[in-house]
Amino acid sequence: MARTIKISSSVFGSLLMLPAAGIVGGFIFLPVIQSVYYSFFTFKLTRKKLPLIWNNFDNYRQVWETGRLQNAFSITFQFMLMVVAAVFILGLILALLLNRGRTNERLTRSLGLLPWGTPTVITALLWSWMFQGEYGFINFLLLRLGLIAKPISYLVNPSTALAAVAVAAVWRQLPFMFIMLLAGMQGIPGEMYEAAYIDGANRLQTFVHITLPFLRNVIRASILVTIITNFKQFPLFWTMTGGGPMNKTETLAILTYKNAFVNLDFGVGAAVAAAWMVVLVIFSLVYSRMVREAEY
Amino acid sequence: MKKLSMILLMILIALPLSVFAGAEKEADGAGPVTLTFASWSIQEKGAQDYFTELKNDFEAANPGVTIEYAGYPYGELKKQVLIMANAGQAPDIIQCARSWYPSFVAGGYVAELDSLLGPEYINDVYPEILEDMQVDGKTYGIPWKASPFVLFYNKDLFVEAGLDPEKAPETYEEALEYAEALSSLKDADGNAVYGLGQTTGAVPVSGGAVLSMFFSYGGGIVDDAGNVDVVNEGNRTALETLKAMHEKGYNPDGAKLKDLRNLFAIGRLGMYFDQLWGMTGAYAINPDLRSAVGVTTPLSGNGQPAGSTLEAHLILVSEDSAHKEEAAKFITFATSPAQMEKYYAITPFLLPRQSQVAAAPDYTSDPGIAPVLNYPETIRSVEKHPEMENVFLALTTAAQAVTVGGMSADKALADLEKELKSMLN
Repeated sequence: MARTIKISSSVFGSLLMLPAAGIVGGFIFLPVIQSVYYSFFTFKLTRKKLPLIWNNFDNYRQVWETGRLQNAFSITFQFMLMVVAAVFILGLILALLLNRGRTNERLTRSLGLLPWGTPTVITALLWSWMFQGEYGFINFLLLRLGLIAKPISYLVNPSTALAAVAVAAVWRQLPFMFIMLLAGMQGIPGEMYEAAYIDGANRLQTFVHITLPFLRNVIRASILVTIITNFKQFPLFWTMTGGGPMNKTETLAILTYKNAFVNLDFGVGAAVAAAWMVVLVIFSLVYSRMVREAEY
Repeated sequence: MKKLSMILLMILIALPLSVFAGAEKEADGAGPVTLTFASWSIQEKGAQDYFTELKNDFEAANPGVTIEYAGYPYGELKKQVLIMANAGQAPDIIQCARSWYPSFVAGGYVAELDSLLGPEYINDVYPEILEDMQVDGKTYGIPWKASPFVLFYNKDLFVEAGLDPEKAPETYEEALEYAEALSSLKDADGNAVYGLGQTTGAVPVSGGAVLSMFFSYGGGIVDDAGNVDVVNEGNRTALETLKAMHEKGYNPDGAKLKDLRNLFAIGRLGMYFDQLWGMTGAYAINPDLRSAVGVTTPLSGNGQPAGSTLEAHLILVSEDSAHKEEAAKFITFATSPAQMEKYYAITPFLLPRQSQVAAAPDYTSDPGIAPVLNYPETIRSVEKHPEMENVFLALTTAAQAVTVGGMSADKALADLEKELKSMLN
């Protein structure tokens, strides 16, 4: 007679989760832990078979003392704020226009999705050519219209390079935002608006008191995704500016890559990545808390 | 059934071991030898036929030795070689850009070549070039192709600007006067022509160009004792010249060498500094340019003797190679006058060994080479510090600071000195 083993449903549930937890742990948490571990050691490929050497937080000190880490934080936040604000405002306007049926929705939606379907590297190359000082379309247009007297090298000028990359990022990410917001708007019951209009509410009032509150969850999720996307933005910067000119577009992602994969100093690269990860986690937690508090 | 499974398992385990045993035998030198050559040039379309022929010729002359090319893009090769070496799979022979050389030497990745190539070969290299290759009196790399930063100029544009096409500028002061005249020209579409191009793009090779400018004004980055010395009159004048070139619109902003080559090829740049082989790219865009191109040695500034970094493609032998002797044989073969003549036919460069020059009469009479034949005299040796690639990048940042950044030369030099001290001291 076969023996039956009794286990509680919670233990059984945990056992079922074990394979997935193992995969997630192995492929996500383990590399993160290993990266943080390396950040405390001298670990360079530029010295043959150099063993890992504990260096008393020298990797962290090094990136801090040169000012590159602080600069990278500043650039990353500037870029993120610029792009998130532009993407949200433009996305909201587009979604409102489409939701009101003032445009050919199917055509606009299809065309609007094109940038989202374009690989980021292709986007970067496309905009690099658009912004190219000598042969770029933007200068061609501005010169023909007489708006500028001589070509501007957008990507090599310290005062325009970050904004130029931000334009490419907005172009690429706008469809995601407006599709999300449009989907949210289309889920709002029409009766809500009808009732509001019967009560004498105007369009602005329905937008503020019905549309925005109903969109809160969509806005929170979309903005968080956009924040994270831009916080770790790499291909646009690497392809368009490489972090230059004068480190004016050197974000945390670029600084990490330069240290780890250009200088082959994995210790310093891991230190930048660890600092960046901590800030991103704190930022995400604070943001979630702020949004939650705003709800109640 | 159980026994059969065990036997199969043992065969499976033994199979890879037998492969390793074969590899071990080859490493002992008892069997045929395969030399792995990590190169970026092999990936360049115009050079592939030459490299195939080189491999075939070498293998025919050295039975039992096979060349296996490991091609990587230029920007990836250094990283790939270091990763392979740390994984115990270093290529036997490495093609190396001059700016990477100190990293390979300081990291202990490459073998000393003095004994492998012999004194006759080593002493045949021009002394100024050999000095730039030596670390503590030992040679770890041999230049395959060499060049200083020469000045190319477009004779047709010279004529249009009322300049003598047969008289190249010899000093920066003259070049700036010429640039003034050239900058007044427009191309057929009405676009402005740039007068004098100097690369300031954020890549190490641009740093070499900026350092060459420092040398030509009597500056540099270290003093005679080897200490960082950046805030000096020569460097200040060099950066002020660069700033003036930007402000007067002579030089395209933040241009990489490939940008300057493009502009030169389409007749929108009158003069610019480049490595001699850079013209290959320009001719690919505009083959008709050949008859209009003039070349001259690095310029002198403020009465100082002209100077340049050595721009070179080097060949190195890996320290971990089990076939160093065969690798040295390959270097000797590839750099023999006969092979160099074939290589020179597809891309212009300067020969780094005296016997190569003596054996190539066509080379010395080539109008694209003759004006710069005295190039070894202009070569200034640079530091062999493993951080040199970052030093070159810091030099481009200083150049960008005074041009597109609008910073004063004094401030840019003070910042540069601080950065270089943290790297080199």
